[in-house]
Amino acid sequence: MTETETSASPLPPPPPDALSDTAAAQAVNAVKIYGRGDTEVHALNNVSVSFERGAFTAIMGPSGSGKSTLMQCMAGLDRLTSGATFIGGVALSTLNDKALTELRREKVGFIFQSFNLIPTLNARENIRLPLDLAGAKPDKAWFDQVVSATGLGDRLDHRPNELSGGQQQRVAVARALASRPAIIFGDEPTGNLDSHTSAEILDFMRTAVDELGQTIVMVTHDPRSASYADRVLFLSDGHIVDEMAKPTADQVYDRIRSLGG
Amino acid sequence: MIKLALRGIRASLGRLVLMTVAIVAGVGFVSGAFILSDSLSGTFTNLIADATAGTDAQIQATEPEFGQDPVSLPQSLVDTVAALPEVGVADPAVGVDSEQNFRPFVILRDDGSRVQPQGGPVISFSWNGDTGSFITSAEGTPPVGIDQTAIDSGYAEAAGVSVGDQVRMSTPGGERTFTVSSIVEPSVAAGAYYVLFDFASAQELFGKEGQVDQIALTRASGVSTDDMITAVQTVLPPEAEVLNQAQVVDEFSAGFEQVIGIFRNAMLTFAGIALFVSLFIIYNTFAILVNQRLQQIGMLRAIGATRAQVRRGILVEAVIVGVVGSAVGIAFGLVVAFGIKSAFQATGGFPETGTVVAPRTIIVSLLVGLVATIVSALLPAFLAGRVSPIAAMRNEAPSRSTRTRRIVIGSVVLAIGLVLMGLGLFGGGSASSVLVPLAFGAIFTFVGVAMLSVLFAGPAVDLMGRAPVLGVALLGMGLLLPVLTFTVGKGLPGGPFSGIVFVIKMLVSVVAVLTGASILASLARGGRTVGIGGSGAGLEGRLARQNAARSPQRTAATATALTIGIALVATVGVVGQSLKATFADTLERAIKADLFIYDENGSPFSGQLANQMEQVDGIGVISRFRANEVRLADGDVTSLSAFNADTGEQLLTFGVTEGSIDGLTDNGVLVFTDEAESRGLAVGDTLPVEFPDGQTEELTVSGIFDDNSVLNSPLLVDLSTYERHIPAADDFFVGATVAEGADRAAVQTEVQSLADGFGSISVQNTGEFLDSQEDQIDSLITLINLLLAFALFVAFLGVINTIVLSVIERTREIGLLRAVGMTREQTRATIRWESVIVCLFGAVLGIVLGVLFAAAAVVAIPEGIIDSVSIPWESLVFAILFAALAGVLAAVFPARRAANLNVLNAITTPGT
Repeated sequence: MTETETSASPLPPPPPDALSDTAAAQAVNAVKIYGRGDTEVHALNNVSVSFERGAFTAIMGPSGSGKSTLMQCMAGLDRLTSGATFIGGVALSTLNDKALTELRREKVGFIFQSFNLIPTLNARENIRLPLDLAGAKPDKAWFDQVVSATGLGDRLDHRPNELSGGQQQRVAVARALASRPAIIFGDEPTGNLDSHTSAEILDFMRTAVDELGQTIVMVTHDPRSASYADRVLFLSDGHIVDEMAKPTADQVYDRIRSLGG
Repeated sequence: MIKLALRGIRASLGRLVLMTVAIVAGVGFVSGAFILSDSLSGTFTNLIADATAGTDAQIQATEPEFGQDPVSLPQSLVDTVAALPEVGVADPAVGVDSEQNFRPFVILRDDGSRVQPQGGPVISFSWNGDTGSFITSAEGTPPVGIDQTAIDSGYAEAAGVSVGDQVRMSTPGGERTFTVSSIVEPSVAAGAYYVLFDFASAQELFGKEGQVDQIALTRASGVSTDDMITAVQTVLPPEAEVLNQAQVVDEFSAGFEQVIGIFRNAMLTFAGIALFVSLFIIYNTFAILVNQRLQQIGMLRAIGATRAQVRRGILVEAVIVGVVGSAVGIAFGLVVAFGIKSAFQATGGFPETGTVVAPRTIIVSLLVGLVATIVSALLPAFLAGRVSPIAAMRNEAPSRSTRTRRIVIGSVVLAIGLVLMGLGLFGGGSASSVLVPLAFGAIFTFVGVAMLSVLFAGPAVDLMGRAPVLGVALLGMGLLLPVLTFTVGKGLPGGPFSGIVFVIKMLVSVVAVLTGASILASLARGGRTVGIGGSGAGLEGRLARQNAARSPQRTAATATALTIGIALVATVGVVGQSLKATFADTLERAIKADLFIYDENGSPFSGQLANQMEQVDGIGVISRFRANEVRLADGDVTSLSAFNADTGEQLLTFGVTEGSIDGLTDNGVLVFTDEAESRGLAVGDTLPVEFPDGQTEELTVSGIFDDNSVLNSPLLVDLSTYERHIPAADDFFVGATVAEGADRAAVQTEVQSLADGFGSISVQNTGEFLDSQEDQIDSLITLINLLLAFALFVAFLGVINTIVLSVIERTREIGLLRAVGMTREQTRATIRWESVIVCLFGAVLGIVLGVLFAAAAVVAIPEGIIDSVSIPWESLVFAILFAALAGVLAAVFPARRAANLNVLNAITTPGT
C-alpha cells in the first residue's frame, strides 16, 4: 500500500471556535486519499465529526466506507491528506512521530479485533504494558479498579493462550483503560467473538463508560454491538451519511440495510 | 521493553539458540586462538625463565649479520669477568653451531647407520651437571672427561641405550666411543634430541678450544644486577654483549612469539570468516523475526511504544544473544585450544602447557561476538522502528517494499567491491597493496552479490527446483563424481583424512544417483509418486519451488551464508589446483633424474650415501646438491647451490639462456636471470663471493639460467668450488639416473636399502617425487578446507534456521494443505525439497563467485608461482552434491515440525 502524505492542507485550518470544549476527539474537514492518479481512492471525503467526553460512540458502514480509516486517523495511527484531527484540543498534524507516540501513550487506548496481546506476557503484565512503555508509575487505585473490573481474578497470572477469547479481549480492554486515556478506540472489538462473549465484552465497555467515565469510539459491523452505544455514526463512501442517538439493534439493522452494507 | 525482549527470547528460544551457535563458532576460534597462543608463549617464557632462573645476566656474542653462527668469545673473558668484584660466579658454556656442522654428534648403530629418529635434530652443548632448570632431572652422574656423555631420555630410548653403556658416535673429528654417564630429562624437548658433554670436553669436541659461546653470570652478594652489568660492560670486547635475565627471556621468547603470532593470525582469519558467515545468519534471523512480529510491533507502536523503544527491544535481544553466544564461544575456545594442543602434543616433544585465559581474551571475544550480533541486528531493528502502528490492524504481512533500495545499495556495494578488486589486481605494488584491496574487494563483492541475488534468486530457484532439471542434475553429477575421482583425482590419494573424504564422496555420489533416478522415475510414472526420501517430484516439488521462489529475498539471504562458505572452499580449491598444476608443470619440465634422494625432514644427510650409491649396479650418473649462504660485494646475503657440474645437466634442467654450464668447473658461476639483470651481470663478468669461512673468491659468470624451480638459489657453482670453503660432507639432495637397460625398480630398491642406514631418507622415482611434492600442496588445501568446514557448519545452521522460520510463517498454509489431504510424508517432502533447492542455489552461486575470486587471485599471484587457472572439477561437483545433501539434513527438523502441526490449530492461527 502506497500512500501520499501532504502536510500542507489545501483547506484553511478550522477557526478555533469550531472546536468543541466538551469533545474528547474531533475531526475537521478530514480528507484521506490513498494511491495516486487512476488508483486514487478517497477513503475520507471531507469528514467533520466530534466525539463527546464520557460517551460511547459506534461507527458503522459497509466495507470500504472509510470507517476504519476515520478511526485510524483520529487515533493518530495514520495521517490525513488534508484537514485536521484533534485529541483533547491538540492538533495531531502538528506533532512529530515522537510527540504523536507519546500522545497515543497518554491520551489514547486501543482495542483490536484480534486482541493483540503479547503471548509471552501474562494477563496482568499485558494490562500494565502501556504504563511500562511510558515508564510511568501506575495509579494504584485506578489500576486495581480496572483489573477487578475485568473479573479475571486468579487468572491474571495466566498467559493469553491459557485464556478464552472473551477473557483475552477483557484483558485487552483493561489494557486500553490502564493509562486512563482521554479516549479509547476499538477496531471491531467483538469481531472475533461469539455472541455470548461479545455481549460480555460490550457490557464491560459500557461499564467503563458509565462507571469509570471513559470515552469509547468503536468501529463495528454488528448492529447488536452498535446498540450498546450512545450514538451511532453511519459512513458511506467517505462521508458521514447519518447518525442515530440511543439506537436499538433493529433500528441500526434497518438503517444499515438501506446503506447496502 | 527489556522484559518484553527477555520474554521474546524465551518464546523463540530455538531460533535464538541457532543464532547463538552461529556466534559461538566464530568467537570460539577467536578465543581459542588467543588462549592457545597465550598458553604457548606463557609456557615457553616460563621455561626460559626457569632455565635461566639461577643466573642474573648472560654474556653472549652480538647477533652476527650474515649466515654464520655467532663468533665465539675468547675463554680469557671468563677469567676477566670473574675477577670483577661485582661478579659472583661466571659459568661458561659452548654449543655446536648447528648450521655449519649439521648433526655431528649422532649415535651410530653396530652396522654404521645413524640413529636419527623422526622429528628433530640432535643438538649438542656443554653441561655442568646442574639440574632443576633446563635439565629437570638426571639419572647417573654428569659426564666428566672426553670419554663420557649425557643424552636425553628420548634419544636413549631411540638408540636403546642406558646409563653405563658404550655408544659409538659420529663427530666432526671422526667416530668416537663414549660411555653414557647420565640420561637426562630436558624441560623443553620441542622435538629435538640432546647429546651433552662437560665444558672442557665440549670445547675440544666442538673444535672450540679456548672459546666460549656464552657466560652465565651471578652477581656478588650485596651488588645489584644493574651495577654488575655496568661493571661487566667496561671489560667486554665489541663482539660481545651482556643481557640481564629478563632480556635473555625476551630475546628467546621473541622468536617463539613470531611463530605463535603467525599461527594465531591464521586462526583469527578463519574466525573472521566464520563470523562473516554468522553476520548474514543473524541478520536474516532478526529480519524474519521482525517480519513475523509486524502485528505485535504495530500494536506496541499504537499503544505508545516509541520507535526508539521498538528498536531498543530488538537490540536488547541481539545483545543477549551476543553475550550468551560469546560466553559459550569462549568456553568453546577452551575446547578448540585444548584440541589443537593435544594434537600437537601427540606429535611429540611439545611441552606441557598450562591454559592461559587472559582478560584480553575474554574482553576481545566478548566484544567481537557482541559487535557482530549488534551490527547484524541494526538494520532489522531500524526496520522494526519504521513499522506503522496500523500494522496492528492488518492481518496479512505487507510485502516489504525495500526491494528497490536493496538493489540500489547492492549495486553500489558490488561496484565498490569490483573497483577494489580491480585496484588490487592492476594497481600493482607490494604484496599487501595487492592483497588488502583484493580481500576487501572480495568482501564487498560478496555483500553486493548477496543483496543483488534477490534479482535472480526467484527465477534461478524456480528453474533449479523443476523436477526434470533437478533429477537430471543430481543423477548426472552423482555419476560424474566417481568418474572424476578416479580419473582427474587420484582415487585414493595420500594425505590426512583422505580415507574419510573418499568414503563421504562415494556416499554422496550414491545418494545423489539414487535420488536423481527416483525423481526421474516418478516423473515417468506421472509425477505423483513420492520417490526416495520423498523426492517430491509432483505437487510437493511444485509447492516447494514456489515457496522458495516466492520470497527471493529470504532465499537469497539464506543461501548467502552457504554461498560464502562454498565460495571460499571453491577459491581455495581453484587456487590450490592452479598452484599444483603450475608447480607440477614446471617441476616436470625441470627434472630429468630417475631417482630422487632426500631427507623427509628436509635435513642434509651424510655424503657417504652418494658414495655408496656410486657402487650400485645400474646407476647411471649422480650429482650431489648442497646449499649455503654467501655474501656478495655489496653486503647482500644470498643463497648459493652447488652440484656436480659434469653430471648436473643430465639430472635437472637449468634453462641456461646464455653462456654454458661447462665453465663451472673452472671457478665459474651460473647466475639466475633476474639476479643477473638486477646486478647487471653478463657472461664473462667477475663476481666476488664471500663464503662462510670468511674467504672471498672471484667467480667468473659462465652462464645465465632461468629455471630455478628445483634449486631455488640465484647462484650455482660446481661442488669443487663449494667444498674449498664448506668442507662438511652432507648433501641435502642427491639425484641419479638409472643406466640404460637396468631394472629401474630393482635399482631403486637397492638404493632405498642403502639409504635406510642413513635415517629418514626417501628414494623416489620421477612419478613418486612429483606426487610427493603435490601431496604437500594437497595437505595444505585439506587443512584449509578443514578450517573452512567451520564456516560451512555455521552456514548449515543458517539454512536450518530459515527453513524453521519459513515453516512457522506458513503455519496456516501448511495446515490448509494438510486439511485438504496432504499427507505428513508429502509435507515433509515439500519442506525437504525447498531446503535442497535453496542449498543448491547457494552452492552454485558460491562456486561461480569462488571461481571468479580464484581467477582474480591467480592474476594477482606472480606468474612464477601460478601461471594459469586450473579448475578442480571433482571438488566442485562434490561441493554441489554435498550442499544438496546438507539441504536434506537441514530440513529434517523443520520438516518434522511441519508434518506434526495440529491441523485445526494451524488453520485458526491468526494472521502471520
